[in-house]
Amino acid sequence: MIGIIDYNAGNLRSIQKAVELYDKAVIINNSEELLACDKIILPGVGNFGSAMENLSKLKGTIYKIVDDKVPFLGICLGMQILFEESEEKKGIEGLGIIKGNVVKFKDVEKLPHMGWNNVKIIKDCPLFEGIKDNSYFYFVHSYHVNPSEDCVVGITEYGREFPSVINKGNVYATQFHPEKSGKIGLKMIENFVELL
Amino acid sequence: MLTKRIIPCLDIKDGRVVKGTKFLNLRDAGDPVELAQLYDDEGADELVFLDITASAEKRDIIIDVVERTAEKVFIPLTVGGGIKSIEDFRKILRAGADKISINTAAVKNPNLIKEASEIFGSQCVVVAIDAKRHYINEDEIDKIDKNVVKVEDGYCWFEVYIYGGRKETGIDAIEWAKKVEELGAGEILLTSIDKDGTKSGYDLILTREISKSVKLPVIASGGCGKPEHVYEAFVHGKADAALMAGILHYKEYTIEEIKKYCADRGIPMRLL
Repeated sequence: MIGIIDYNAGNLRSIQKAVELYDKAVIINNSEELLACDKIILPGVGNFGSAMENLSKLKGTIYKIVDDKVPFLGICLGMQILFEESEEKKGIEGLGIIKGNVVKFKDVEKLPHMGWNNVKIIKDCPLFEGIKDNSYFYFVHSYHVNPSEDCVVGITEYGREFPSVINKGNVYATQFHPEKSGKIGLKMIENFVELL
Repeated sequence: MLTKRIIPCLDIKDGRVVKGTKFLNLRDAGDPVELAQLYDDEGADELVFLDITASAEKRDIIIDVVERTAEKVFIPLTVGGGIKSIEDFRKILRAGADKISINTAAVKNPNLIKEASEIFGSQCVVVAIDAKRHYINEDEIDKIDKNVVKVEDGYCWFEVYIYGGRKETGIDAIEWAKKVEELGAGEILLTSIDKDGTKSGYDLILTREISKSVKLPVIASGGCGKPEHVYEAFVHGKADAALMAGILHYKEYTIEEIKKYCADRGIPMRLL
């Protein structure tokens, strides 16, 4: 059973429907339910500050499941809040599961970075199983992660190259929305669901 | 590389897709969920549903359509039409929409843009601007307090219309675009009322003027009749995405043909 963390951030239906193509998916917002799932997805819409505020109750449980090696997938803002801090909301601590920070795109003509862009695979990762290099995924964001440890497995170019897929142990994250990226995105969700 | 987007628009009335000319003369064009699936298979980059019933008592019909679509289609879905409140936003997002497009409500209550973007994030808030050329004589240019633009056949400013193109507001579309950006909108869906349904091409001057006035992505809409028009909207109109309806619903061109036409001419497109 896959748990999708609900922290009051809007559209969880599409991620739930996408996961349900492969496994049972439940929307959860308390520690007990969280601990009962085999895998966890942390979706993300809204902003860094409000997300951390809404997650405060679950923070301890998230650290526990990550320590217990439960596969964990952060999507979009759910990727960004894995880091230590963000320019979006200075002074608020992120989860700090990955070392590094989150910065705003600079010197780009259009913001947000919105639409389909390709992901260049730079390192093997189970999420990429059956997915071709430079496949297109759907992005919508104005900030990107800037890790200070070795975890980047896929990169994308917008004004500069930025990390679009990361993997550290049992923790996976994508800056794009696999649940909104058509059949290739669904393949990536399937890959996550099938992780051992 | 970020690709340009092709976005089919489904005007939905009482649960069916319809298509008219200049907002009038509606014809039936099919079932929304089936069409949404078909366009996804053909390579649509996003979908827009415009609820043109949009009376409060019939709101549940579009919610049902959105729910059923979200079960089968996994690309971004924008829903617009008669959305007035944060509660409307919440209901439609919860049904499975990714973005909400607001038009009349945004003009009447600009604070809705701010509130919605703070609660749901800017990426959810699309402001639809319906604009029409307001021609003026050359000797009036200095006397008028609007952004006057030279067009093919004289001078005009672009006026914002509301209530599905039926009511003028006196608001300058260029100023309005800048204001919605400031208020937290994530994207602009720009429709030319002059061009809508004519199949004579997008209003490239309107599109370019708005696109260069804001940092937000701009979706060109109104007037698409052939692939060349889409190409022009990207190159000359500086649009980030192109919206179309009739040419797809009546199978004059497929999304694939349009994308291939653009890609062959150097536009970055997501090809299946």
